[in-house]
Amino acid sequence: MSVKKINIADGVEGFYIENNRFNTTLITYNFYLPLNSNNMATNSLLPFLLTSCSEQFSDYIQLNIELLDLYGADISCSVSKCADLFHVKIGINVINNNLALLNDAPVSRAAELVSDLIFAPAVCENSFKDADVKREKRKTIERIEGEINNKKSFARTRLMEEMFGSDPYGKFIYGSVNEVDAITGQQLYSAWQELLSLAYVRIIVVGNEEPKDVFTLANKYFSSVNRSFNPEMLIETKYLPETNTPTDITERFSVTQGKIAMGFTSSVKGSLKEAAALSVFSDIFGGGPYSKLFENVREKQSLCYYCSAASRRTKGFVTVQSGVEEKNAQKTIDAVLKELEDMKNGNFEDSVITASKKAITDSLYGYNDNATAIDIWYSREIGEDISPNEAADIVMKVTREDIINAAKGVKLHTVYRLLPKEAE
Amino acid sequence: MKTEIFKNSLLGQYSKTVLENGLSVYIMEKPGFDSSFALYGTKYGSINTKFSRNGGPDIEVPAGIAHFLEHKLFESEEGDTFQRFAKTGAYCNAYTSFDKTCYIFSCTKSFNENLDILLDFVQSPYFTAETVAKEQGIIAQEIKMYEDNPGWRVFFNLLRTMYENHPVKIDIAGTVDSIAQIDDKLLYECYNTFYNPSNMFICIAGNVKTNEVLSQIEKGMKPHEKVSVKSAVSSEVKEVKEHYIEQALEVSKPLFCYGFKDIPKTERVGIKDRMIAGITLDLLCGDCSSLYRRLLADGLIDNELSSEHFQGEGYSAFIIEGESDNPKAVAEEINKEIKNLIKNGIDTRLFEAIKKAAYGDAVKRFDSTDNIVTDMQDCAISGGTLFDSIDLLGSINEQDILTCLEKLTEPSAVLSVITPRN
Repeated sequence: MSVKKINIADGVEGFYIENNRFNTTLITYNFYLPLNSNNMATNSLLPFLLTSCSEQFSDYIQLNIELLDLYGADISCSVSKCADLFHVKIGINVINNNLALLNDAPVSRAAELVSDLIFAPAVCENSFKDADVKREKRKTIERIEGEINNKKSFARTRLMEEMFGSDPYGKFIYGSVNEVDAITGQQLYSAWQELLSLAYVRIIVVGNEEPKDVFTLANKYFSSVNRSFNPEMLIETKYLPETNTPTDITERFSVTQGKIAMGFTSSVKGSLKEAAALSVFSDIFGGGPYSKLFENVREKQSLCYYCSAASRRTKGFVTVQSGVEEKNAQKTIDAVLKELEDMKNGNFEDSVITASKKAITDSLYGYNDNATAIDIWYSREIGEDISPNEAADIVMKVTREDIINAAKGVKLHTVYRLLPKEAE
Repeated sequence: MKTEIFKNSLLGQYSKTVLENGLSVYIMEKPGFDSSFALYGTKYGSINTKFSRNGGPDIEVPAGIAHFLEHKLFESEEGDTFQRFAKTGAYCNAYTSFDKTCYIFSCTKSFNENLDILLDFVQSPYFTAETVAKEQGIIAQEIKMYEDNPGWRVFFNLLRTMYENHPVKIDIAGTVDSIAQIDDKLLYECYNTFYNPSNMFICIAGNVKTNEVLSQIEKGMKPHEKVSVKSAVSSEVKEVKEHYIEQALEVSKPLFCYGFKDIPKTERVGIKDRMIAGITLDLLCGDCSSLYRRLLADGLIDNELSSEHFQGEGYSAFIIEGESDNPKAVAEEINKEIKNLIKNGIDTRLFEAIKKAAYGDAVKRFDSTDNIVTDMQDCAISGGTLFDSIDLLGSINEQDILTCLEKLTEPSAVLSVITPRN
């Protein structure tokens, strides 16, 4: 596997990741803008609008028929937070030309289709069309209202809101129903223009043939955009300060099983070495089945069905999530904190360090077998540009002391409890 | 030992070998890959609650026992299986569905060591009264977690309203009451019945050498008593119990599952009929169908409908799921569209495009060792080959679709709805 970097325009880079293991080619456009609470709802709605229709394919159904004809090519669209950047991904995955039943060059057609959706949307007089905007607003509002259906992710969303307060990182990415209601076609048009002119853009292709068409097309489209990209927006990340008075919030819903979400600050501030130590810490703490939370809180004490930890290195925090009965909620929180103290005191076996490093690196070495994983890797690791294998090498060098130091930097910040209503 | 090779000029080849003890082994070499994926499965799932062993009388066991056994098999006298895999860095997991229980691992290094662990722990049951009691608490929590899951509830409410006798109507994990009846003796009885090589299969895809793997598996086989097992799946009636079921949960918008019950003519639905069912559902309610367009325009739905042909031993149903403020109106529209398609025929252009997409989807499956192994497991359970979905596609015609649509009748339909609590 090789990675070739191509400069397409100011702040627009092409990444061709040659990989001949797949029957398909994956093309993604990745846009990055500074996170901003004020325009987050609009920016989150925009890519869903762009991938629902275009000037050429006037509605979703026309577009879907084209996708069926492209051997079932999949359009993907997502929004996420990448440290303090807002990340939009629009992509297409299509079978390689040599597997086509007809001589209809699916890869080139897919490249044209995805660029067409991004650069030639269905707009009229500096605005997106009312019917399209209305439809996508309705879908986004459903997405927001539907968030409550999955209590595990809802608990995490609420934890992030409470933990980060006014920092836009804590804001639910799709915004509120009121915010979405108020979005207009003109605002979306301005957001689209900003996305094309201000964002850092990374176009990633994972496939077995150099995708000249993809980069030539991107070059053609970006040459007609008035770019004013500011590289400084890629640099600074704000980290949450630790607190001596953790917040503890309880909300009640009509559920059978309660959820607990705990948020911790850490001392990691972006360095790859520190981040690797934090990821090994978090894996030993509550990642794999050999972890302290799995082994002690779930298996030995049977306090819950799941109890796991995760770290987000780019923003330097750790979360623990658990599904519990109300009577065990406080016991579970106490047990999690006890395990954290144990980690700080170095009470874990060397064999667990080896196991954790092996599990993390095994997963990293497997990235090359999965086009989506490769794409996500190169779209999340902006500014670092290291390969999964290089990241695995850094993980292998993490020592016991590094893990204890990472643990010592982890401090409880917020506890969020989602519990059954008392009457039930 | 008997080996068959299956080939496709563009997508490669794989082998199926039946060992002397009856175990079926499927292997696809993917030499360019870094990782390998392995699965050890048994044709034993939640529906196998009544069976006879070696021609003896029918035995009935509590619901949820296959899933319980899956949890318990991870423990052995030497300790927890997760810990053994942890030493190699492999990812391991297991799952139980209606008709199978599977144990899996994936890794980029130490494949042989991991395969030895897999072979060993699946063949080494170890249950005690204490470990069984502890697991009852954990599984009860898992069952409660699903009680709050609207997507899960809407589906199982449909099944228990659709089926009178078939155990497919019971949750895979059983109930808190049924799992309370499970003890170590029952677990051994079920293990000794269903975990015998002739009822089991191993599927592997990745950077492996077929002959080496086969010889390692043969060496890793423990002696097994020859067992014949006959599943006594209760015969199912044609009629559904009720046509409508509703439950209130904390959801923002009603969820629905609209299903049509079909009694399979043979024990299992064949591969071609499964493909026809998938294409039929796409034509009827996929995101390019005229029904979908109409439902969107009428504001009855905002998002795509999803559909599946749900089938296994002795059951088959066509199920359409979605969200709507008025699920009953959606169901009526679905019924109208079925009648319309039967009367006026299907859209030929769309039919051809869906077949082209089905070809692309089948090709894409070969990009992932995980998907290859999942599909091999389907072949082990339901028959057919990995290349059937490509080879048979050309033979499916419009009449096949119309014949399939005839099965979707109103008397065979059930609508299950989850409504918002307030």
